[in-house]
Parts: sequence; structure tokens; C-alpha cells
Amino acid sequence: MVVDLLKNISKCSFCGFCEISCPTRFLAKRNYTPRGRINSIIVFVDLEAKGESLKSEEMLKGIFTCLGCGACKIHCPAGVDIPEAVRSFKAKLNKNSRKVIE
Amino acid sequence: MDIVQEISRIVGKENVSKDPVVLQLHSMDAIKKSGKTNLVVFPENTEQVSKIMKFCYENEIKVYPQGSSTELSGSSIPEDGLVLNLSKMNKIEDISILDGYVITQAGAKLLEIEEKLNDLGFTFPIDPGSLRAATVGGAINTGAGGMKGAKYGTIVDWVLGLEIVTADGRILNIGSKTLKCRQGYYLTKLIVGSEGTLAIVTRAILKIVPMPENMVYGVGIFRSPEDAMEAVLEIKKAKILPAVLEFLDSDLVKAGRDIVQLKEEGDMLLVGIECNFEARDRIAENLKEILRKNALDVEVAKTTKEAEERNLLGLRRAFYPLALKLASQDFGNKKHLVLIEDIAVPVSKLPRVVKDIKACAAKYGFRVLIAGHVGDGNLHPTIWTLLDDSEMMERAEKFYMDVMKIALENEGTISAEHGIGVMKKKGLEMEMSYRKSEYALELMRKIKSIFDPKNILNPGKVI
Repeated sequence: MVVDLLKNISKCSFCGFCEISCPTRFLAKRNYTPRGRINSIIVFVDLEAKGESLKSEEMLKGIFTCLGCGACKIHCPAGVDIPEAVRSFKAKLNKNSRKVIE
Repeated sequence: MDIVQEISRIVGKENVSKDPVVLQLHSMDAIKKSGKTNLVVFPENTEQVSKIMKFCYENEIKVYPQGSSTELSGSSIPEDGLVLNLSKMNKIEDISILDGYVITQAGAKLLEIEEKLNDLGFTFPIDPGSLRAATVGGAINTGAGGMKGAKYGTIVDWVLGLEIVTADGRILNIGSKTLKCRQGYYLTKLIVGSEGTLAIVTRAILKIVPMPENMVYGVGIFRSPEDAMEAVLEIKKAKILPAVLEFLDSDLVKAGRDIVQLKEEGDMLLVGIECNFEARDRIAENLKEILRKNALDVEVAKTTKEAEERNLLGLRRAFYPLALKLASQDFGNKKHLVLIEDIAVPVSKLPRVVKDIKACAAKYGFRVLIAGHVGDGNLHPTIWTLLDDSEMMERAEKFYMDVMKIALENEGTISAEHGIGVMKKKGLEMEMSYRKSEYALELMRKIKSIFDPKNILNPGKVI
């Protein structure tokens, strides 16, 4: 699953075209924007691949404040399925929630 | 001294973050440069920016001002110190139709400003490729341009006044709401394009104009860049000043052929001419006649609506997504980078420069796509590389140095609208040396030290 997720999200170019459509972007910190969520996932997965864990409250807040509205999806020039990536990652976090929060 | 505590006292705890993910997300940009910061701060008003700068000046803490980090030169990347992100200062404060300006805070997005103006039938005609994401402060600091540069220039021509905070925390208002303004040395224009190295831009007064009633669009496909330039010359001879005059090289047209369903392949010109609604037939016929002289295929739309319906702008708009798609096809899920160059040469030199850039890309083993704002001679040769392949990254750097050299040899310049950042520092030195004007760099360093004697504002960028 992690491999599938990475295949899609590693295409993110950080261009920020997705941001203006996101209802939570007014929270200002980038973890509350689509590109921020995608890159949080990349950081998390990269560390996990090295056997390390990411202790970040803001990453969790960012991921779990995504409304799943999908407004960002059509604006990604790289074709990243942002809502699906965030949804899959939420599911992964829910499954391993204790491990992540500790 | 606890820096976090001191800064929190100024902006409130909720506007300060040391979270590792927040630090990382605010140390990246759109060319995958990544730096390091110890703290990200989100001020809500100019007074807070002033207090932060006073504190940082006294304690010699480096400050990296930041908008949406969509720049393409590494100019927003921190190297230690504090990131000052202006996203919360995003109010569009005033629009005056009578006086012809919009006043906005630095963190407002260009697209939101444009949408508000369009509702009133007005426009701010600076439309960089990053329009959806770019902030006013970022656009001012990079000296942004866009597709309409041939007619409307770059942002430096549209900034009437600025509120800035100096390195030691003073709030200054430079320029004015008037179109004409002589305040001694033109500090406003000096700040534009300074990439956050001279002062923090917190508010801007921007000139606005009415939206055009109509636009006639034409697309021509040509056998060679020379033929395309011949058409540009004919357009100019006909005393037409297009707002949009874009060039797409044959390789790019070939790669994106499906997007616009072209009958022919070749080098493409996209022309957009603003006009009164009543003049559309005459202008369209005139343009068709000019393009037909030596084009393989010509499509003309008399209105913006018609151009949209026939997707005439499709390929130009798809340039960046297409490059991303091709990069992704070539490299799969390995981390890669699409690099967009930004040179400008006199329009007459474009055919030769396009040819030289293609030869240069072949020499270094890269596939190159070339799109550009041909009306102002600005080209964006684009290649893609693997981030973790140091040999390929080194080749990419050599390619870009050679492209800049090509620009200089053809009486051009190394950066048209993306700025210098860290990516083009060597290029800037090369340009001033080529012009036998190295002392200009010395003057720039002196200016920097006057504005920022402790070198705390976005250090390491530009010069």
C-alpha cells in the first residue's frame, strides 16, 4: 500500500496550484493545505522506510482536518490523486494510531 | 533567552511553530530545494512584523520572508534562522476605480485579487504561470511577469507604492497612490525583485486597468522558428500590439499534440489581441491573413469564448503539466525535478537561440521543451532530472549555465522573471562580467549592506 501511495504522491512538484481551492488553507500552516498534506505523507513514509517514526502533532492535525471535499484534485498539474492519498493515509494512521502518537 | 517565548509574546503562541513537519514544509520550494529553519512565524499585521524585525535585528537572528514558496530560483529557502510566513496577512483592503489602484497585504494571492477586480470589470495584468498560488509579496519580490509581458511588462511597472519593514524594524511607506510620483531615488522599484534581501514587503498599492472588451486569438503552426518569427515581424509591422504572443517549439507541440488536436506539427505561435467587441471581425481577418503567409495551419477565434470552446490556449496552458507528465513517464516514482529556465533575448535572436538551446540539450543528453513569451523574448527551456542522481544534476547545472551563456551571446539576459535566488547567482556574476560591469555587483552589495547591515534578511540570496 505504501508503495502504491508513494508512486502517486512522489509526483507532487510543490507548485501550490491545489491550495487556493482548499477550505482549510486559511489556517495558514502548510500542513493544512493539500500540498502540505501530501508532503507530510512523503516525510512520514520516507522515515518509516528507514525504520524511524515521525512525531508530529501538526502532521496529524493536517491530515485529520482534510474535509475530503476533493476540490484540490482537478487542480494538480502532476495528476496526484490528493483526496485518495489523504484518505488512504488516514486509514493507515487510524490502524496504527498508537504507534504514531506515542 | 528563549526565542520562541519572545516571538510568541509578539504574535501569540498559535502563530509560532517548531513542529518538525511545519518546519520542513516551510523549508521547501517548487524546485525541490530544501533548507532548514528553527522556527516558522505567522504574523497577522505590520506592527507584529516590525516588532519581530526589531527583536531579530537586536539579536542577529536571520529572517527568511516567505509567501507561498512557488518560486523557481531557491529564493524562499531558509538556511537556519526564522521563517516569516506572510500568509495570514492576506487582506485585499481597498479597490479604487477612480484612482486606479488596489491596496493589498503581501500575503494575498494574485488570483483572488484578479477575481475581485474582474467582478468590477478591471484587471491586474501580471499573470505568472504560478497565478493560482503566488502571493503579491512573492510576485513583487521575484519581479514576476507572465504571458502578457509584451504589452504589460512585469510587476515592476505596476507597483505604485509599498509598505515595507526594514531590517531593524522601521515601517516605511514608499511610493504613493498616484501614477506620477517623484520621491528622490525610486526606492519602490528597488525593492521590487529584491527577493526579500532588502526589506519585508507588507503591503502594496498596485495599478489596475479595465479588462479588455474582447480578445481575438490565433494559432499558427510553422515549419521553423524562423518562419514563426517572420510572422511576429509581420504582426509588428501591421502595428498590432498583442497582449499574448507565445511560442511553443516543435518538440513541445509534438508531445502535446493530443491536447489540442492539431492538423499539423511544427513550431507554434499563439497570439492574443485585445480589442473592442465591434473590431473583432477586422482584427481576426487581419491576423488570419498575417499568419497564413507562411504557416502550415492557422486557427483563429474571434472571441475569448470561441477560443476557449476550441481549446486554442490548451497546449500553452498544458506546458507545465505536460513537462510533469513526461518527467513522471521517464522516471516513474523516483524523486525527480522539472527545471524551468528563464532567459530573455531580443525577439530577433529567438530562432538562433532556440536552435542553440536544442543543440545544447542534445549535448548534455536532455530532452528539452521550449515555451516562451515571444513577445518579450522570454524563453523557458525546460528539462527534467533525477534528484538523487548527482551526475545528472551536475549535467543539468552545466546545461543551464550554457543556456545562460547562449542568452548573453545573443544580447540577452540570464533571468527575465524568475529572479536570481541561489540558482542563478553564478549566472548573475557571469552576466555582469560579460558586460564588463562587475562593479555593478559591488554596488548591489553596498546597497544590501545599507538596507541590511547585519545581513539578517534572506542572506545568501541574489548576491
